[in-house]
Amino acid sequence: MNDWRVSARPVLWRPCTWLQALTRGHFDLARLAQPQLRTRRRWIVGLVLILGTALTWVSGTKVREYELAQAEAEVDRQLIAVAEEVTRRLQRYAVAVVAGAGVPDARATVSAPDWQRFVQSFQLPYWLHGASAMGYAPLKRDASEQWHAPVQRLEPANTPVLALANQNLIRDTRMADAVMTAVRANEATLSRA
Amino acid sequence: MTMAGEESHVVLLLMPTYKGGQVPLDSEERRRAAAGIVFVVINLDSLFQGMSQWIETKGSFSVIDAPIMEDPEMLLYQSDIVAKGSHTHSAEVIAGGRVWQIQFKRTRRPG
Repeated sequence: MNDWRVSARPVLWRPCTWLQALTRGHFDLARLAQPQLRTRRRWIVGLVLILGTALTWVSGTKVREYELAQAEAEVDRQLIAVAEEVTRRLQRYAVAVVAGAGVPDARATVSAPDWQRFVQSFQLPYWLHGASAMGYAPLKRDASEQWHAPVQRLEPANTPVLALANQNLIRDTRMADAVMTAVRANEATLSRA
Repeated sequence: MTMAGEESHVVLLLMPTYKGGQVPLDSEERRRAAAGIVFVVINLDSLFQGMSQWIETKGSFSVIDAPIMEDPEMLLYQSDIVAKGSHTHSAEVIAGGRVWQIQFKRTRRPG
């Protein structure tokens, strides 16, 4: 007789034996084979199906949660890498301006060839990625104690910000604040142009 | 600021120089002895573009100048891709007396 229940019996037997041992004899396959226990058999099959479905759903959910957590962690890793690279680049700019502060002589003047030589030594597009130009502006105070900083040197000569040359760097209160903050703290200070 | 005929986002990194080449110890002395400003012009588009191919292709990437004291938040950079959604990842860069907040939004949730 080609009955799947008969052919499946050896496969099912071992887990059933384990169950029998675990449940101290309450789960007995031989007893369940009796016709009067058909209802119980259906219950067990139903229970196994429900348990299987639930376990599949739970494991699927857990796998998805794990994948999401991995994806979130990857974003954070990438963002931290970007932040580190931005910090590295800003530190390079800071090194450049600190070095530039050593170019003016004792009379606080900067000759055009000196400034050109200094800026060329940085190879802007390569060593200072993102830097368009480097400049120098002497600070002057007028009779009304207002600060002015006319841009005296700007390199390279073909800079896209050439319009800055001879312009007053301190054009608004934001820039004035940034300049004074840099002066008082003697630190490289960022400001919107 | 206009760069080569096009409006561009630019920031300046400023460093003071002092008379005599010496840096006075006192901040008020420094103000009196200030002689000039050395600056580097930073093009924000050049600075942030090509920073991370992964970030630029997976979603919206922006940088906000989040000052410690003055001014409201200011957008310094916005990548070409604009992603909708409220879930934002962020990281901070502290430099030159400013706090820059780097923000990232995925174009879509993974999976």
